[in-house]
Amino acid sequence: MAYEPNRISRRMVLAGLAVGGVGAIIGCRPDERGSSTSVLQPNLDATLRIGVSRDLANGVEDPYFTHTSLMVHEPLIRLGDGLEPIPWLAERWQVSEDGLRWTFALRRGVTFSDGQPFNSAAVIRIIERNIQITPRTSPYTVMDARVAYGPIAALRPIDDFTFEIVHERPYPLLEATMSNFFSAMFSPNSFAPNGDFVGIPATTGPFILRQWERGQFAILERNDTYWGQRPRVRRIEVRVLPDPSTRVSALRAGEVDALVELGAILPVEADQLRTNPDIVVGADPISITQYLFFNCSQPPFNERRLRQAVTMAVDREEITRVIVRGYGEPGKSLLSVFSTRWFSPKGTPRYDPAEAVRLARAVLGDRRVAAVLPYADGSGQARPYKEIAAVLQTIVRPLGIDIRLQQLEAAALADVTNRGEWNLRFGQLGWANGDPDFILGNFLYSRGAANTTSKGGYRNEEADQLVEAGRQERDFQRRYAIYERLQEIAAEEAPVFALYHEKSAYAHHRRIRNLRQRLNFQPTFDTVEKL
Amino acid sequence: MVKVVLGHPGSSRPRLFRRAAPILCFVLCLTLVLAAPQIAPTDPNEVSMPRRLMAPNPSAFLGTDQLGRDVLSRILHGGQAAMITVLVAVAGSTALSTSVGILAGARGGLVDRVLCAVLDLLLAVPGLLVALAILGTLGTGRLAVIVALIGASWAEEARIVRSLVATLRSSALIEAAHALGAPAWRIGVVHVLPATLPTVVVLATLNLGQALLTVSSLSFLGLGTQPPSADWGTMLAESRAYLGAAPWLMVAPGACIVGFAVLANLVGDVLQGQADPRQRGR
Amino acid sequence: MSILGYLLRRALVALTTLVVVSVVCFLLVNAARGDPALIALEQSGETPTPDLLAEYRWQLGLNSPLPVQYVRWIERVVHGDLGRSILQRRPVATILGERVWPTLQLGLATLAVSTLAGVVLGVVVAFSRAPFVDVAIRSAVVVAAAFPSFLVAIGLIMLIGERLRLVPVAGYGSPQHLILPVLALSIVPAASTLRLTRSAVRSVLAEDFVRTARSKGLAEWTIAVRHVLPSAAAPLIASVGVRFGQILAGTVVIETIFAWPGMATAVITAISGRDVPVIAGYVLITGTLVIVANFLTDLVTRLVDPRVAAGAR
Repeated sequence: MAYEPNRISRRMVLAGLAVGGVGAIIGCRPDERGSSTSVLQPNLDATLRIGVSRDLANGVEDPYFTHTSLMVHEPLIRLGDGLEPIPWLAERWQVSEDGLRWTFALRRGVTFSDGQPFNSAAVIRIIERNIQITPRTSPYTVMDARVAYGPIAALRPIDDFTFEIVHERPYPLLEATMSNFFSAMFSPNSFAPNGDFVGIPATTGPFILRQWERGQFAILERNDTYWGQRPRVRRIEVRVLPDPSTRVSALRAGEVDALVELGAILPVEADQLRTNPDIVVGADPISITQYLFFNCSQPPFNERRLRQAVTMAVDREEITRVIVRGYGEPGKSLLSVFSTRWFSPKGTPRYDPAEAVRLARAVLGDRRVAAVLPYADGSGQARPYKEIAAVLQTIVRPLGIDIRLQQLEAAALADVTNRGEWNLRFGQLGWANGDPDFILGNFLYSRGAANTTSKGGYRNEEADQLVEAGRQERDFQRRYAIYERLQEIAAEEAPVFALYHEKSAYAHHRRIRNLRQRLNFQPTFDTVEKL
Repeated sequence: MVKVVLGHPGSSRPRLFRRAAPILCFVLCLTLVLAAPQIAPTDPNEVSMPRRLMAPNPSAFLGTDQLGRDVLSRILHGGQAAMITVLVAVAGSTALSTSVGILAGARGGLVDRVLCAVLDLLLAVPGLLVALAILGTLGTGRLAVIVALIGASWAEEARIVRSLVATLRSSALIEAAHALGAPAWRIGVVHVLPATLPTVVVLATLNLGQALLTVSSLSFLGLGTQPPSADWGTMLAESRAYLGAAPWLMVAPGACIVGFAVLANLVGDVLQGQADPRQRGR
Repeated sequence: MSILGYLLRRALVALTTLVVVSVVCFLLVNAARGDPALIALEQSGETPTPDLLAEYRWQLGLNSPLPVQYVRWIERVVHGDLGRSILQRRPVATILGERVWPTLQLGLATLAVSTLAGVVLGVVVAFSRAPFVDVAIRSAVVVAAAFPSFLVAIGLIMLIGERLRLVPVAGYGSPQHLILPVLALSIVPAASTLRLTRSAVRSVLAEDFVRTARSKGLAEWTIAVRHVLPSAAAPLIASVGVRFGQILAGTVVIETIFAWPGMATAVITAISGRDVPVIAGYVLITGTLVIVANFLTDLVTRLVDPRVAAGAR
C-alpha cells in the first residue's frame, strides 16, 4: 500500500540484474562429502527419523486414525505380496456350503496396548462401529461397511475366539473386502458414542503411536509386548514434509534418515540422489496403476475403433522408460501385473502404431476430430500427467485426433470429470483390497463408478453379466475365468487401458538397513535397522 | 492507512519522454514476448524425447526441458501468456480503480464516504488473500486469475486516485467549470480524467511488476493459469525438481520474472519522477 | 477530538469491517463451484458410486436448501463455530485454531526482523553522503522487491540448509526452525521499510531544526538518534499494520515450502478441495488479525503523533 518515491539510474539496473542472475543459479553442485559406511551391529535402541509426504495419522474423525503404513493397527486379514489375502489377527476362516455363513477363528494371546484382550467381542464392537459410521471419508480410503462386510444378516460371537458373519446372500468377496484397513482392530474402549475415536486408540501392532501433531510429526514407539517379531528400532519419528524438494533437502542435510511411503521422492530427484554416495535409492512395486479412460458416451470415442487406435498407438514401454523414468512397469492389463493371483496376459492391448493409423483412417478418412483431455498437475505426487499428456498429444496427431489439453486443479478436474466434459482422462486406482471386482466392477460394469459418477459411459452386456456373476461365484477357478475374460474384453473394446503400474521410489542413508516398501506402500518398519 | 501524495500531475507531460532508457527497454521486451509466435525458433510444445534435458547449445540457446521442448521458445510463448494475463488484469484494475476513484473524489459527500469506507475495508485484507479467496471460489483458470489479480490490487489504486481527485476538486479550473454549469460527467471526463492520467499510468506500471510476481506465486502454488504452453511462473515451479540435473530450466524463467519486475518498477519510478515535479530536484 | 473518542471511532470502524468480512465469507461459502461431497469422497483416489455419494451428501446436510444452510451457518458463526471442514470433518475453528500461532509467530518474527533491517539500512542510506552506498543499497532494494519469495526460499534451503548445514531445512518447533522462513519472508518488507525510512529521514533532514543542530556541531549519530528518528517515526509506525498484512499474505507460499504448520498450508489444501468453510474461516481469521493490527497501529500512531487525529478520516 505504501508507495514511496524512488529514483534509479541505469547503473542500478545492471547491478540489479547481475544480483538476480547470481541468485537464480545458487546451488547445483553435487554433494561431495565422503561416505562412512561401517560394518556395525544394528542399534536396537535407535531412533529412526523418516520424512513422508503426507500425514499418516489423521485424528479422531478418521475411520482408522492412522494409515496402515505406521504399523500401529493390524487387520484380521492382510494382503500379501501378490495382493492375496493372508491370515493375520484372524488365524483361519471358513465359509459354509451355502456360502452364507463365514466363521473366523482369532489369534489367541493378543492384547491391545491398553491391556484389553483381543477377542471376538472386540471384533464385533469394531465391525458394528464401522457400520455405524458408514460412509466415512478418509484421505486413505473411504469406509463403506456395505462393501467391506457385505449384506450382513447377523454378526455374532461363537466363543471368545470365534465369531461368525451371516449374509443375506452369498458374498464371496468378503476375505478381500475386509482386508487391511477394513478390518483394522482397535481396543473396544477407543470409541465415543458417535463412532469417533476418543483419543489415540489402543492397538495391537508392532508400534504404538505415542504422540502426533497434524501436519508435523507422528512419534512411534516399539510395542514391547508385541505378539510377533519385535521391531529392531526403539522409536520412529515420522516427519511430514509436504514439499517434494524440501523433503530431499532434508535427507541430504541429514535431518531425516530416510524418505519413504507414497510419493516420497519424485523420479527425477531419485535419479539425482543416486549420485550421492551416502544415500541408497530403491524402488518397489506398489498396488497403484495409472489408467487412461475414454468417454464412450460421446464422439469421437463412442466409436470403438478410435479407442482401439489410440490404445494401439501408445507405446507404454517407452512412456514408462522415459517419462516415468523406469519407476513403474508398462501397463499390461487393468489388473496390476503385480497381482500374482488375478493378472492375465490376455488383458494386454497390442502396441501397433501402423494398425492404429489404419483403424483411425477407416473411421475418419481425412477428417480430423478434437478431443479434450483435462488433467491435474500431479508432479507433487510424482505423477507426470503433464508430460504424458504432452506426449499423447504428439502420438495421436497422425491418427487425425487433436487433443486439447486442459490443466485444472483437483477440484475443478473432479467437477469437469463428473459432468462428462471430457473425451480422455487419466485415472489412478490403488487396489485397496486385491479383489478383481474392485477394479473391473468399477471400470467395465455399466453401473460402476467410472461409468456413472465419472461419466465414462461404457456399456457391454457381456461385461455386465460377467461382473454380476463374478460377485456371486465362489469357486476360485471359475472366478479366475470370469475375470480373465473381462480383462480380455477390456483389451478388445478399450474403454480404458493401463498406462503403467507404479513403483514407488524411496531413499535412505547408508546407516539404515532392511528398509523397503510393500505393495500397499507400507514401509518395512517392522524389520528396519539402524547401524 | 498510509497516505500517498503524488503531487500535481499534468503539469509537465513532455518530460514524460525523457530518460527513456528503461521505458525503451521495457517496450522492447513487451514487443518480444507479444511477437513470440513470429520469433520463437520452434513450436514451444513440440515434444522430442531424444532431445530431452539438453544444456544450452547452438541448436537450443536456452537448452531443452524434460520433454525435449525448446526452452527459448517456451520462454517467449510463456511470456506472452503471462503478459496477456498481467496486462488484462492491470488494465481491468486500472479502469475499475480510476472510475471508482474519480466517482468518489469528484462527487464527494455521501458517495465519497461510502466508497471510502468500502475501500478501507478491502484494504484491510491483503491482496494475495483476496486473490486466494477468489480462486478458491471460482476455481483456477486464466479468467479466475485475472479476476483475482484485479481483486488484489484495485482498492489500493482507487484510494490513491480518490485522494488525488479530492485535491483537484477544489482547483480553480474545476471550480470554474462547475460555475459555468458544466454537467458532472463532462467535468469528470474532460477535466478530471486527464489530470489523473499521469498518476494512473505510474500506478499501472508499478502494478505490472507486482501482478507478475503474484501470478508467479499462484503458479508456484499450483493455482495459476495453466495453458498448455506454460507461463513463466509454471516453468519456474516445474523446474525445481530438475534443479540438480538441469539448472538452466530455472535460470531462464527466473531471470525473466525478476528482470521484468525490475524493469516495470524502474519504468514506474521514472514515470513517477516525471509526474511529480517535487521529485525532480533531488 | 479526545483520545477516547478517537479510540471509540476506530474501534467502531474495525468492528464494521469485521461484520463485512464475515458476510463476504458467507458469500464465499455458497458461491463455490464443484461438489464438495464428491471431492471429500474422492480424496483417497477412489470414485464413489452414485448411491454412496447421495448418502454422504445427506450425512453432511448438503441436501438442505441454501437459505437453511445460510441460517445454520450464521447461527454457528455467532457462537464461535466456523462450521466443519468438508474434507476433514473437523471443526474449522479447531483446524485453523491450532495453526494460528505458528503463522502469527512467523509473521511477528518477520515484522521484527524486516523492520529492524529496513530502518537501520534506511537511516544509513539517508545519512550516507557517498553516492556509492546509496546506489548499491537502493539497487539491491529494487532487485529484492522483484524476487518471488519462493525463489529466495529455494536458494536459502540449498545454500544455508543443505550446503552449510547451519540451520534446519524445514519443520517447526525450535527457534532455529524460524530462521530460514523468516529470512525468505523478510526481504520484500525490509526493502519497502528501507525505502520508506530513507524518504522519511531525508525529508526530516531538510527541516530547519536539523540544520540548526548541524550548525551547532552535533555529531551525526546524535542528530540521527535524538532529532531525526523521533520525527521520522510516525510514517514508519503508520505503515506497520499494512506491512503486517502483506507479510501474512506472503506466508502462504513460504509455509508450504518450509513445512511450517501454519494456516496457509491448510488453506491451500482447502482451495484445491473446495473446502469452503475452511477458506471462509481463513479469510475471517486473517482479516481479523490484520484489522486488529491496523487498529493498534492507528492507536500508536495517534499517541506518537497527535497531528494525525486532526487529519484522520
